[in-house]
Amino acid sequence: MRALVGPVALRRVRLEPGRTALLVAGVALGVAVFVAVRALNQTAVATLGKVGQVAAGGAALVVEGGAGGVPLDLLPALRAVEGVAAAAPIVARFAREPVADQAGPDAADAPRVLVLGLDLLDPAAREVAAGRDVGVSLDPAALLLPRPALVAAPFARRRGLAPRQPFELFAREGRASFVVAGVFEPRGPAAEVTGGDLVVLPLGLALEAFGPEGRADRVAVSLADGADADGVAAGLRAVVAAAPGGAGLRVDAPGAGALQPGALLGTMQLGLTIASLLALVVGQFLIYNAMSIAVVRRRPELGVLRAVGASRAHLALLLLAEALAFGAVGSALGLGLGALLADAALGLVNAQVTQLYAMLDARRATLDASTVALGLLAGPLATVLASVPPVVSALTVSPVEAARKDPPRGRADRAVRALAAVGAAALLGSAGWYVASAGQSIPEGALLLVGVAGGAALLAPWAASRAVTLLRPLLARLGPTGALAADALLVRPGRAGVTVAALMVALGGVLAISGLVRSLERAVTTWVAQVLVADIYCAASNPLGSQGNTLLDAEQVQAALLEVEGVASAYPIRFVFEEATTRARGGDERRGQALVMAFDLAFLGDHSRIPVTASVDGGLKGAIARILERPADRVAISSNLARARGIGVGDRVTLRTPEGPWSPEVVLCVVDYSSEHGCVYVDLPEYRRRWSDPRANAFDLFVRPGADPAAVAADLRRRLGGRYDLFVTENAAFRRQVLVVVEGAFTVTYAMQVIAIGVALLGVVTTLLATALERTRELGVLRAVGATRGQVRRTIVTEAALLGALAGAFAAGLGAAMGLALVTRIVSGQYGWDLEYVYPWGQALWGGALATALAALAGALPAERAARLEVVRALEGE
Amino acid sequence: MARVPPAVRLRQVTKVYAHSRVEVHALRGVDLDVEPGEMVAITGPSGSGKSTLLHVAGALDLPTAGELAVLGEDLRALSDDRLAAFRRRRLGFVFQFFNLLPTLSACENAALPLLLDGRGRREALARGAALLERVGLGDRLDHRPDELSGGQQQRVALARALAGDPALLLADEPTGNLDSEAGARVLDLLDEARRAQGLTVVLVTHDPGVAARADRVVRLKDGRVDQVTRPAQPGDAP
Ligand SMILES: Nc1ncnc2c1ncn2[C@@H]1O[C@H](COP(=O)(O)OP(=O)(O)O)[C@@H](O)[C@H]1O
Ligand SMILES: [Mg+2]
Repeated sequence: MRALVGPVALRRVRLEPGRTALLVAGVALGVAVFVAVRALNQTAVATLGKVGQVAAGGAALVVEGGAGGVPLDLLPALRAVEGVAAAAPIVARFAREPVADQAGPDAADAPRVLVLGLDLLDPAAREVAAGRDVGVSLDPAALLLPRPALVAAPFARRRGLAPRQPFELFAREGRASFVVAGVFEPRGPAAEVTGGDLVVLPLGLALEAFGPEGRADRVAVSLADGADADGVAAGLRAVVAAAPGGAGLRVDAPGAGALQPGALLGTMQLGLTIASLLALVVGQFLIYNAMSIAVVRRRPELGVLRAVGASRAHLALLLLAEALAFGAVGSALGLGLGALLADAALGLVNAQVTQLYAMLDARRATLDASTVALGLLAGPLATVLASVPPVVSALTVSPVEAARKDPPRGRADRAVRALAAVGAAALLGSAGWYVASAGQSIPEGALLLVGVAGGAALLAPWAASRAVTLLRPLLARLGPTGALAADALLVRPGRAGVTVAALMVALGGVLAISGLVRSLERAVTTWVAQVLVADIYCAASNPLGSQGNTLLDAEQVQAALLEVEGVASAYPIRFVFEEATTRARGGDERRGQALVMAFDLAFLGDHSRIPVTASVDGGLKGAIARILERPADRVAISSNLARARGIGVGDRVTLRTPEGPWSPEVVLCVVDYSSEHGCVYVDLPEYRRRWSDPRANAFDLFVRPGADPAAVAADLRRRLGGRYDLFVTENAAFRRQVLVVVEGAFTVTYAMQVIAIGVALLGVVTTLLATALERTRELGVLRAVGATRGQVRRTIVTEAALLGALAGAFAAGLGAAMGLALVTRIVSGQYGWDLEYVYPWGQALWGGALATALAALAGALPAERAARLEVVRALEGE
Repeated sequence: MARVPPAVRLRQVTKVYAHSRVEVHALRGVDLDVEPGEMVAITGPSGSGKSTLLHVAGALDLPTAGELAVLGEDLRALSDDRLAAFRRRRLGFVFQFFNLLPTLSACENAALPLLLDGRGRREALARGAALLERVGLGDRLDHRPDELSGGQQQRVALARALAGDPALLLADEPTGNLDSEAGARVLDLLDEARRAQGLTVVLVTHDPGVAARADRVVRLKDGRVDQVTRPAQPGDAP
């Protein structure tokens, strides 16, 4: 039996290199998208997690205080707990480097450096923090230099820095200068986070430069020999609970307890999940198609083998072994391609995560063992699974029947109809679920989308053959090539249908995401006009307020802004993700991140027309006045938070603060698209007091009456841009950039789906090559009775274009259904945004036209092969 | 009186197939003239080059060497598109296995050369229908090939061969796959068309009965003309 695998299965590879290449390419591309998406997701999550782990590698326990950090005053008490060997305070911040032309186009892309503040003078603390993670070895004398910094070797090399040389970074008071006190080789998570762009400062210097003073981000605790971690943790918790200002702290093993970084990456993960699901579905179609063609082409051979005594099991093994081999080769290629793809897309993911969730500067996409394993398994699994139906259908027929070249037509028709019935049922079921449910979680939503896409895919072959039947008379009027193209598709409704289905799903996915983006854009455009009312926006290190901003000293920078001619007022804004716990009316308690937005809330009432969805007294100003009356006990929240968490005016939201849980009452709900996780608006003085944080992400500026905002902005740029790494944006440009961010949130998803479309187009090539091969004799007859090469070519290209056009037309409908579910159930259910669905007409039309054109192009190769057939040989069959 | 040029004129035509490692000499210097209106039967053992000769004469394949003129045209000088047009307008083919397009109706099959020639669909189909009427299939216009018997399919193929009003009809064992009755019917129709249109016919056959209907029988052997005979014609003196 094994002796047959070589000659029967693998020799085909040599005989049909084109088909083999297409199949392997299809597997590879599908696996590549899957692997890239997973790698990007994991790299983002892992890198975010590593920032939290940096310099705590030797610790058994970590004391952390969320966004507010851990007061340094607590250290003596922590160190006094029995079983604690050392307690090391740690600060980890990202800082940008000044570039030569701070106002120039490169400024936005200037590199970022991870700055660690460690207690370098305490040997025990140094041991915990610096020992095996950071890899610092230290000459204490070097610390006697003014503003000393230990720099990682890659950073020193890139900047050309030698010991005792000065260098600058942007900090909370603008440019800050440091002196190289030593160079070290970085190790561990710290080295991975920024690829070696790492600077270690003494703790005091780090806090002075980046703030807030007196608070570390976390404290790493190591245990004395023989101490029991649980016992020590209990002791630490007791100390922390008793200490003033300790109520907000948690004691846990490193990485435990805190909300997982993955929970933060909301819509990004949604988009990536959709992209990888679709890639798998599309890839599966292509593989199914290629394998069923392979099996059909081999029917006579199988008949002969059966006739000479091979059992069905033998033949099944033979065919599946071949599928497995292709799958394995495709998977291996896909893994490499996926790694390249992930690296190529990493910059986009960094920008997106930094903009929306948390500072991220991953330099390399990493494939972890599970991704490699899944990627390697995906190809063989998909090929074997996809091969089962054609193999079974080929083997359940008698040897005599198998020896006939074509499977009987009726069976294909019946199968197509049966699948259509299942597909229609799936679509109906999905529609029912859609109507019955008000909103859906991500897993439910994914299931709904799969139901819609899968149902449509099963229905597609039948619909395609109906459509072609209806179109045939029209095509026949265009000439015999049109009729023959239609016939070629009708003869194999299954194969043509699978190709249409794959292209439809790929294109439908793009249209679904486009619909979401259009819907968000429309909502955000309206909202931005009501909410973004300042004349000028300023933020450090990034043109928009984002999680990647360098935090500035609010009072100092506000004063500097007000000094500039023409500036009437400047409002600092601070926003930070913090843990928020809510209890819905039904009693459902939810814990998750929310964006705490702190600014002068009077500003909201005085200047903006932000839409109100609920208010204690029905209006915006009244509710804001109520908050300002008692800011320690009242807040406003965004309506998406209210909706997602099932809370409203009169309920309380519990925020984690350094002082312990704070549970103000919600008196106002307003529409806000700043974060899918929802916002809590806190009056700025209240925030500063509770979080001990005097810094700001951004400033809203108003100019004096009569002053020209453009001139004022130019002046601000010139005078403060280089000093604070400040990006100054006028109102109109700012609004535009907000929309760019909306679109940008799905760039990676689009990119992955474009690949899925590419995979589907490969399917078009495979299909046409196969049909052309099977119709060799017919093509020969055509030529014999006088068809020109051009006419043969046109037949095949028309066939291809027809596949593309049908896919485009069906995708317009599928995209609408998926987009509607995405916008009005998943996004609304998961993120609480009440969006009106906007159908992406432009993309649907373009997509359909492009699919037709690209499919026609994909038909060029098979068409050329068909046109080049030698008439006499073609007439003889093969 | 000026001599009418022959419909088919082959001089020292050779055909060598060199696709694989071995060269196959399918034709080894064939001389043949077929006069306008004549019906020539080609016979010979299997593999002797009959089909090759027909393909060469029918502009489906080009000879390796030798002179070749069909209906006054030097086929070797024509481009591929011109050859296609030549087949469409001047030649008709009938094959042993009918070779109808399975997805087209009988009428569309019959009209195919005209459709390919860019004639109006209505005109082409009307002519197809008329031809099918002529071969006795006027009631089968919308049937697909798999709904027709072998003999009926071959009559559709004959209609298709006649659609372009050809001057030369080439047939490769047209009755080889038919029972004798159906075969006779096809041959009668062929005769009828010959008489009506002054058609020249070159026909490959194994069947001595079929060959007997020809004006001349050319016997091939190993790619050479082995023997030329004239069957006794009904009008010949006993
Ligand atoms: N396309 C081809 N390639 C190689 N050899 C061929 C080809 N077609 C025919 N032959 C060979 O040429 C010879 C003549 O074939 P053919 O004209 O088909 O014979 P006939 O029709 O008399 O049986 C045979 O030996 C055949 O094997
Ligand atoms: Mg032959």
